[in-house]
Amino acid sequence: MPASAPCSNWLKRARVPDSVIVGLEQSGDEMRYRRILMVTATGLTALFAVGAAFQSSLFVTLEGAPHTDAMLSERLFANFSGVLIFAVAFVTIPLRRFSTLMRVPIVLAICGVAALARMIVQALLEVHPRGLQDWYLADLMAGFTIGLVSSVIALLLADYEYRLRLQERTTSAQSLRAARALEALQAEELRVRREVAEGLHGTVQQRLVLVGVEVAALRDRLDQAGSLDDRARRDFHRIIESLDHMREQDVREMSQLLYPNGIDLGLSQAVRMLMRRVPASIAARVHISPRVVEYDDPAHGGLSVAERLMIVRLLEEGVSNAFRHGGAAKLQLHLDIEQVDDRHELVLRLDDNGVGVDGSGRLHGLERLVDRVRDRGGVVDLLPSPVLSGARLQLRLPVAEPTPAPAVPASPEEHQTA
Amino acid sequence: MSGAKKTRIALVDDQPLYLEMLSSVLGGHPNIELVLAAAGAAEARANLRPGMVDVAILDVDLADGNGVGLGISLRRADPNIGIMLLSSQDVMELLLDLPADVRRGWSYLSKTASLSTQSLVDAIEATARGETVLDGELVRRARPREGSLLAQLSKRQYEVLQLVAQGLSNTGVAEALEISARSVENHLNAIYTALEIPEGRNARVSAVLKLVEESSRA
Repeated sequence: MPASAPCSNWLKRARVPDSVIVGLEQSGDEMRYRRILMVTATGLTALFAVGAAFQSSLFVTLEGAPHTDAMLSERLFANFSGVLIFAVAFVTIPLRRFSTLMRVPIVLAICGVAALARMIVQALLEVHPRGLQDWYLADLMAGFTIGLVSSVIALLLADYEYRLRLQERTTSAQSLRAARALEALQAEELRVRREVAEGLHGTVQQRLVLVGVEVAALRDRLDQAGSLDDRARRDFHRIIESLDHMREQDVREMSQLLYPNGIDLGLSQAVRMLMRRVPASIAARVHISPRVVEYDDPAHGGLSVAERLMIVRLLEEGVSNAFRHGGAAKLQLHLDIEQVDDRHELVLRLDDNGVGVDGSGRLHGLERLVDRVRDRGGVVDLLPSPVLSGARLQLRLPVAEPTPAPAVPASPEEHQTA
Repeated sequence: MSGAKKTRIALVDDQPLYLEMLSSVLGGHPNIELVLAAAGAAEARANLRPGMVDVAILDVDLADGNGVGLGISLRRADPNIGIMLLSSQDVMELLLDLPADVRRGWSYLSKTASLSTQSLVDAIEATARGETVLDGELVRRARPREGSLLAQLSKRQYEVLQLVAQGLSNTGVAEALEISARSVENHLNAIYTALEIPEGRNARVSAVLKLVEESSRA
């Protein structure tokens, strides 16, 4: 049913509970079932009706039977009265809801009534010559058989199609549920990440400050009591230094890994804040197109935090792979929104001058992220870099059409200052 | 702008303690007039009218939005307002991708910086003049990236740029480095050339942003 497809998509977008969608779509299936049944059964019997009418007329003409003046049209009329009863019966009787056993008498009855009706009309129109009453009986039997064969074929066809639809529906309902579960899971993941990062940033760092102060106080007390030798003093110094390092570097780095800086602001910010952590000895160039900034800026974000996190983590892995496995000393990052036919894609390209793509494809540690990208309709590729001598990690992610930037109040003085 | 004139400011921060501390420190300063202290973006939007303040001091992470978005809309409503962003995390890169129509006169200070009241006031006044002032601690941590234009600066030129980035005037830079104001000017011109920045009223800001863009800060 072509009309149902956009309808069901709309329902999915509108977040109607699954049970309602399935229910609505099932009632659509029921209608479809009856229609297939009716069209097939009616079509087949109609075919026979036309055929039989022609055949009888031809047969009678050849025989040159004396008493027949029955016209072709009268035979057709009689036959189609049977077909009409068929059509009405199949549309009104909800055959799908009956068991196979219950269907047998119902179908037999329909065929019987239709065949009988046809015979009565035949008799009224006197299609057969007087004295040949047996022919009516033969027509009754023939009509009944044709009806039965057509019904069985129609039922088999409609049942088969119905089962197919049902299967399809169950699968799509399942994948819909799975997609929602995934969404909820990702939202939860973000929440936990943010919370743990904040905890690290706040509680853990403050505790480390306090411990550092306590250790220093202890050192001073021992020193005043004269119970510190040079070695102990050096040890204290080392402990305090490593506490500072832990607080300043380790904790910050971990919190960064969990919930990257700038991820709440926009993709370009998060990407730049990641790239600035690349050591200064690496020639890393970052090019971010204004289109990306416009699409996902702090005032009206076009990407969700989950999407930004996915992209930033992919980039993070890509950068560390370029160093760890590729031995790169030069990186080039390009971030843009490109138009492909009538779709828009966010494109991220990370080129390096490392060893290049080896046989294994080198998407080390990226499998889960690549899966996530694929779930959102994107692709991740590792290709030989066309601009540097090493590899290129490329992400293409479909995005909604970029909305034009919000209308800037065009006051004359603003243009002067800008 | 005469030195006697007070700089009018608005403070927006959702951490009550920090808001209170800043309010009392700045509110009591003779060069500053505190016009508004708001606890969130919505409150600031509701109360600020164009022309009311010279500088808006905004926390980046607000409970009901973010300071950058708020700053952009304040600037679009009032082209003369200076924006100073505060953050407890280093998110200085956000200055790089500001929409072109609002890029001038944004400053960035870290909340963890050990700043004296006077240097904070200096930074506010520089921001009011349309300059870009960056956090001193973060600027000192910045290392020029290999292969970048920034890495082509001489050691002295880089020192000059670092001081300019912290909001120092040419005279201020000259005093700090114990050189003449004239040679600071010469250094600056050489810096603009090396960084491929066209001369003009925005050259200073562009050079400072280049420092953010082409440096590494672990």
